[in-house]
Amino acid sequence: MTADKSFIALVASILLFSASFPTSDAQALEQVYAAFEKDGKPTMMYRPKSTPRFNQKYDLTVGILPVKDRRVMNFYWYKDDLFEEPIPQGVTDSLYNELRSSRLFKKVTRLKSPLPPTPDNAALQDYKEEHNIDMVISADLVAFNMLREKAGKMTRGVSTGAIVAAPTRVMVDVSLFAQLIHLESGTLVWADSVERRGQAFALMSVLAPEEVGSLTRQTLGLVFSDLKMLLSAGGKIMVKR
Amino acid sequence: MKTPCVVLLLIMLCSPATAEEFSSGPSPAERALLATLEPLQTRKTQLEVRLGGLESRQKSTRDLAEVISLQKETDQLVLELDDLIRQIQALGTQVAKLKEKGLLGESEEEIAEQDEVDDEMVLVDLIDGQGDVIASREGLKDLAEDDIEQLVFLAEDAISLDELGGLTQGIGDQEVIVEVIEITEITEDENVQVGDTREYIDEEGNIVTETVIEVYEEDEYYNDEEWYFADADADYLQRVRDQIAYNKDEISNYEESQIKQGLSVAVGKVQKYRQDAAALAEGISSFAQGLNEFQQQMYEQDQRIAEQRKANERKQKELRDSILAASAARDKTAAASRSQLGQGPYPILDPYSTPARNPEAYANATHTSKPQLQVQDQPKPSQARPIGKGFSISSNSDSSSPSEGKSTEVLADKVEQETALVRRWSIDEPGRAQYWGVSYGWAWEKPCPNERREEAYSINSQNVYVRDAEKLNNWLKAFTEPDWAEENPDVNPGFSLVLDRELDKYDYEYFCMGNGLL
Repeated sequence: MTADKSFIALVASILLFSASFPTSDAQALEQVYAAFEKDGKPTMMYRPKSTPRFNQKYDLTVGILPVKDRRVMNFYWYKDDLFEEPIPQGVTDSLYNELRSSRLFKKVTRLKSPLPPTPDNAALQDYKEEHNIDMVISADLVAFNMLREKAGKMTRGVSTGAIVAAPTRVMVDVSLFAQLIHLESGTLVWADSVERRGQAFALMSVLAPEEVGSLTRQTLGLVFSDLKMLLSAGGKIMVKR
Repeated sequence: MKTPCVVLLLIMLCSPATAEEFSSGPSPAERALLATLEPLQTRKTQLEVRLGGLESRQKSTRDLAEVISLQKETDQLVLELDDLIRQIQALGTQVAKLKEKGLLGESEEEIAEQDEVDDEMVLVDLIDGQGDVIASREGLKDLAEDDIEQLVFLAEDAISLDELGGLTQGIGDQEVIVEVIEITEITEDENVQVGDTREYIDEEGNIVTETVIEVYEEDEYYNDEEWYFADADADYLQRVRDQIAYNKDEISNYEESQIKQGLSVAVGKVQKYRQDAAALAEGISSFAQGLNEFQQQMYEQDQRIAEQRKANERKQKELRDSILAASAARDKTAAASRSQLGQGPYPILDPYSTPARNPEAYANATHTSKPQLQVQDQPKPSQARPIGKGFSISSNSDSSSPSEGKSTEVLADKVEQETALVRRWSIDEPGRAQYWGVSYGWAWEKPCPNERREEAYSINSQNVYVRDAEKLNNWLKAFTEPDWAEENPDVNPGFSLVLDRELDKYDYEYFCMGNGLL
């Protein structure tokens, strides 16, 4: 009987507290972070689609340089660690997997060291010899952010006044600038930017980490699909003399 | 990084062939090729005939299942035919190469034609792996007469000799070596190294040994002196950009629809939550109302219990008072009885009396020495009188005088008066339950001065005493007025007596003439 009374008192206190202090956005965000900590962070990795199929564009070996993080904002507010992988590394791995499965190149390798700071011809040759590659892809991550905005009226509790449902539009913006460089000739074979925005509907109180992960992976897939199409169509053509 | 493309040096050791075999009639290799070619040609002809028949049947039939079956069979035959054609082409290529190398015999006309062509052809140098020229095509003719022949097999998709560049053939003036060189792309085996060998038996039953003479890296495939970069097709690129923009719009529209759908579902859920919450609140309100009613009932019940307790206490007090009054009356009666002892015609022996109290009776009595107890043993019941309340019937009435019988009746009446109950009624409207109808006051069976109900009145042939008889008569007049029923639709006209309580003599005296209050 005493436990029941204690429980009722606890519930009543919570309701009164929530009614007196409506849930703020910051508190809601902390709840989201808590959910990520509890349920586990999602991964950025996914299996690239086999379609569309590309013809081999370059019968050469290309190396994927680590993606440079050029963002001005974290992924979500002041936190940037909502995924299993660090975001630049996750994007680099995704770029590697996508280009490897695209068959646009004869061979795709992963590079760990950046290009020489002064990329003159001699340095590029040395880099080429060192890594046994013909081309490199240098990519800059311009945007990789999640935004949320209200998609409807906040619904408050009938008696408590606390926010019980906050319809939101979740958006994941991904923007990438990439360039393909031929090391031996120093030719900028291709350069272009791709950007995508993935959107989904979610309630604030039920924004699950896997929903964020799924939306992010879907958006990344679209970004790299665009990248491959542009590279296939816009990359300079190798012509035999 | 070693590439999967491997150049294999195939060395075939064959049985010695004589020069005559090359110069007169087809060589064994040619015969073998022709022998292989003939059945293939025959099979090809058969398949073509069958294919023609199937096509004609397919056109004529209307049955869909048969068409599908025929189509499958046709496809299979087409594949087989294509395979045969490729084999024939490969064999033809080999034959042509052999003829080109002069390793196969030709007819005189063909030889004549070839001589004319040879005069116009540029000599092809054969070089070894290091790029040294080791023989010319002229030397091949000489070698053709040797026991060991040289055969060059090129794979179907192999590059030409010019492209190979470094194709080697170990040809020496004295050596009798036939090298069969095959360019094979081994895509899966990356562990092939120079010097690796393998042996197998070819179609003619010869033991063939292959030796890997070179494993080159595909990086060398690219040579910037041979390649350059040209701009892409701008129109195609623009179409791709347009397609990407279209895809973006399509996906955005889809996502917008999904968001609207999700919002609609969420709004529906929220409305349901609100309805449930409202229903819950209503249920709680109803419960609270019921609880209030229950509490009110409990409160009223408590009030009734309290009133009953007070009434019980009052009744107990009344009972105590009545007992006290009865006791006082009994004492009074007893005193009156004692005062009559020895005075009436009926001698009464008072067991508690003493001669000192009545010296005269004591003087007339026979003085004996009997103890007082014996005197008490001889009382005559007929002469005894009751003490206090109650009455007794005399058993010797025959001997009693008339005055004595009258005295008994008076006593009985007196006792009856003392024990009779006095009723009090409530003057109600007729036909209504007690406490719920219209009451016009109280009526006593006997006058009740304390309540000032002393006016005699008659209700339903019952004589009663009321406070204001005139007022009741006015009510009776009002009952007969025509407007009465309209003005008092819920009241039945007339009087009825509803018993309220019954009081014994003492209670009646206490409440109506004493200090008690009802």
